[in-house]
Amino acid sequence: MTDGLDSLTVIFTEFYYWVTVVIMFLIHVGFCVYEVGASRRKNLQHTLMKNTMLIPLVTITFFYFGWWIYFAFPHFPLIGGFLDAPFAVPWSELMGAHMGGAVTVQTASLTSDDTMFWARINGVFWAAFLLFSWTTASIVSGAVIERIKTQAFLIVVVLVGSVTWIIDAAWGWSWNGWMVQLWGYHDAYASSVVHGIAGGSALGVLVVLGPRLGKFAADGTPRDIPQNNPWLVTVGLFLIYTGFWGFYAACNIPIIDYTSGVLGVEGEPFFTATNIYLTPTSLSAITFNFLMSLSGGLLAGYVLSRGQPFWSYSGGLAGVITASAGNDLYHPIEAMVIAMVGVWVAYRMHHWVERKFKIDDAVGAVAVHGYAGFAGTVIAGFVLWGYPSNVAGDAAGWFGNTVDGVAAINPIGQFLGAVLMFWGLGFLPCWALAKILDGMGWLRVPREIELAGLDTHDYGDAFPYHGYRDTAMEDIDRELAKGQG
Amino acid sequence: MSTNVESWADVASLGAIYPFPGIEWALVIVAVVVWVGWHCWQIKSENDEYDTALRRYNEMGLDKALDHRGRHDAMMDGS
Repeated sequence: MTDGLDSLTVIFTEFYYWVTVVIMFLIHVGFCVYEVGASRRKNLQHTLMKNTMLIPLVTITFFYFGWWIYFAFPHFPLIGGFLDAPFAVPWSELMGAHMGGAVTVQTASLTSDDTMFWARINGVFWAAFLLFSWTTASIVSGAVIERIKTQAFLIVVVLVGSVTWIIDAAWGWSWNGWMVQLWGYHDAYASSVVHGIAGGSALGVLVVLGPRLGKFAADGTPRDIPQNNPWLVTVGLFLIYTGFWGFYAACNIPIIDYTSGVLGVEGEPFFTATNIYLTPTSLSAITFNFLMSLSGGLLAGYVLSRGQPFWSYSGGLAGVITASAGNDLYHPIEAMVIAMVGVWVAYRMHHWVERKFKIDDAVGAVAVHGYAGFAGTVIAGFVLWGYPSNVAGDAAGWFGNTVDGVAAINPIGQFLGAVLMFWGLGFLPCWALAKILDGMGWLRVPREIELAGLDTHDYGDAFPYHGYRDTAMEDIDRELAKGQG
Repeated sequence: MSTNVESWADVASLGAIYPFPGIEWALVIVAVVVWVGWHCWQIKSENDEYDTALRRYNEMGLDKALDHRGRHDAMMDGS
């Protein structure tokens, strides 16, 4: 890089994404802390290691093929084929330390400018998406605690973290994704792209996995299984909130000369941040909306649960997730109200699904991420109806176009997008995989292990120097062990 | 003798700066073997662990296994 302004822009962008990655790491810390707090003492270490080992497995598989999928799949493969992405295949020189000079294997789609750009940006951009992958996969983790085998979970997370979610990102979270270009799909901070698909994935596994032993009484009434440490649960959720700041920033492109012609817009120089669709927003806008939607979610969660910490904190998270689809553009008070609606949907749906279908979502992950994300995606279709979904469209939208000739954001496209992500790319693949794993005996721990605890002989008691206070659940376990209860 | 870079004098013309460029395909094959191999080891290890625990629970009785102190002591003694 020799031009001063270009160099500054690229190196600033490189540093910007690096910072977001470090902040986003706290999301995973939060998930681990939160799940350990939610697990019973006999399952703590199993819960922790299950979610921890997600990190290396999703990381290496995202290096092997996840990153390539994002750039190769934006056109629906059956119609548009795969795009060339020579910088994102694992054997590319640009997937390692590189100074931007000539690559050994030059392709027509990799100009010298591209090489210079990707040499600087590839690693941090890959890492930002990788952290989204961890988050998506980790959301499944909490729902299935205390009875899933680690082996099954670690296969599921490779599917979710390195295949299905990144396909949905290519389709609906990229300026040239077919859902964006044809349906006018808009999901700036990933209500469905991350959270909806994760909730659907968790539900797909839960349907096959079944509830924890003792979760439902013989008459089908759900029992409350006490958390080991509610304080740790809330600290975990605080950490997730903190990491979410990095998540929001990482969804933006920090600086673009918007009128340089690259985006099809020409004029006097105008530098701005954009969202992932390359449409304008600012860090200020998303900061307003992040905090207002968090607040709306907390207020609603507190009211619905009558001040219960778990659902109040979860309400804050669900509020942000609901408003995320349009938080690049909403007014802060719109974001707050939308968040409150989403929390109401998530809370009511969680308890209705639990009672009606006997689904044991141990931490409310399907509700907080899946139902809230789904609702938020649909709401954005109404509130942002008619906004351009992108700036460089080359196809007519199916459900309406803007004066610029690009697909307009609309309720139908948003609804279809939410359905495709929750059910099509979330629920179905994970349900099918869980069925296969169950058939092989790899999905659920044996009944005796579950009753005695998943922290078996290799772990021992997590608190060997602390006394044990039995709860009603231990009595229920003893009844179950005798074939009663 | 150098595994790749011999001088930083003309940094603008440098491409890949990691050692042994050109063997990326072989590295990818190694990486995939590590990935699949790790899953295979983990599946066997976890299933063996549960089999061992089940044997112990059968020996000691599930009632004692449900007693936290009893289970912990038995697991530690037998490991």
